[in-house]
Amino acid sequence: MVAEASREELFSEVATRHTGLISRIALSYEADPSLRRELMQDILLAVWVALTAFRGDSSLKTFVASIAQKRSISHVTRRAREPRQVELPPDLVSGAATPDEIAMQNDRKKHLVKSIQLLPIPQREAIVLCFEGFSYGEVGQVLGISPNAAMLRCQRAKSSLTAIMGRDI
Amino acid sequence: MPAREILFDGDYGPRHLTSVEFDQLAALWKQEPDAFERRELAGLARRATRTARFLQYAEFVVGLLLGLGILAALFVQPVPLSLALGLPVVVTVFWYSWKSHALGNLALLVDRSGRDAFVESMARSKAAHLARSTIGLCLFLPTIVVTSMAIHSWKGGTLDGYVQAMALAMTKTGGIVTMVVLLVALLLFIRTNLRLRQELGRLQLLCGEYREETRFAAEPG
Repeated sequence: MVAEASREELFSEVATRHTGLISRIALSYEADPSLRRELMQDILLAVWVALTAFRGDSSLKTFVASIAQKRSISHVTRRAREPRQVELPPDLVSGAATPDEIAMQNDRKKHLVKSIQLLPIPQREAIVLCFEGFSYGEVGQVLGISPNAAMLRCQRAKSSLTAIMGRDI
Repeated sequence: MPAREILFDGDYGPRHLTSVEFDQLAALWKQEPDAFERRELAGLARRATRTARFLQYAEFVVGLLLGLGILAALFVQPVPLSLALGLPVVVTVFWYSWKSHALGNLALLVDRSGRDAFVESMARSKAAHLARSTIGLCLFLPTIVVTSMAIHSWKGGTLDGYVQAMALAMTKTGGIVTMVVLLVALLLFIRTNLRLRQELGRLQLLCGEYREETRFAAEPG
């Protein structure tokens, strides 16, 4: 079990290095910005509580991703409708590109996010972890399945995403 | 190895994502947040820490106040038997409130079994919650009737005069207010019950989706 001082350090590392991951996982489950902020707050709180049980047998990133996805699943099963088809904010994409390039990237990202939100949750989890750079072994750790099962789920998720996105990949 | 390798299916069967397309989508997905969003995320992390610390001690304080209240009640009129029974209750309340704040939902969050087992566990918990809600709903009206009969009896009324007494009470201001409060409570019970049914339905659908994925992974070839 993790001592209080270590928990502070670990949470500081989560706040510094993994809030982007948490934000993107929340985005894959909730399009409404205010509800997404609530979900992220909930996830961060859950991570704080769960850090007392962090044993270091997986990476902190894997641990955080697992907590984030579990909390997100709880969130969507409590909501009346899922996924919520809310217009995503115009500034979803940042960067120093030209306005035209930013607009194109915005549209592509909106399409990507909406397509991910349309996937069944088991495939949605897998594809998000793939995009985040997790190996099949790490995906298996997060989802509690074997690396081989993780690979198969990721491949099904990619096929489904391709079918949903159509020609707009 | 990152989980991005996939065989290209060529002209046979559905189109698969090429590794180049996958990398492009992954880069699009992982684009760094801008300065505003980074500040917002940092603020959320700080708020989460403050909330966690507050909740950490709030439950313990509630337990402490409850225990002190029981202690005060015990010692206002100290009786050996009440002290013998009450003190273990106080100790248990202190211990439970400290333990429960430490555990919270920790077990569920850090459970390392498969995601399907996690979702099924949530569904079982929701089903149990729904069962308790349904029982409470079924017992609501009978409890009101029995309680009102007990009060009527305590005031010296008879069973024969119960209905008349209730009809008379409902014409008075106090009776009307009570009826409104009970009606609102009943509607809240019903709304909670319906919400729990919908949540359980979504969880059961989700369990089905996970079973489908597991079945697919288990099929040979």
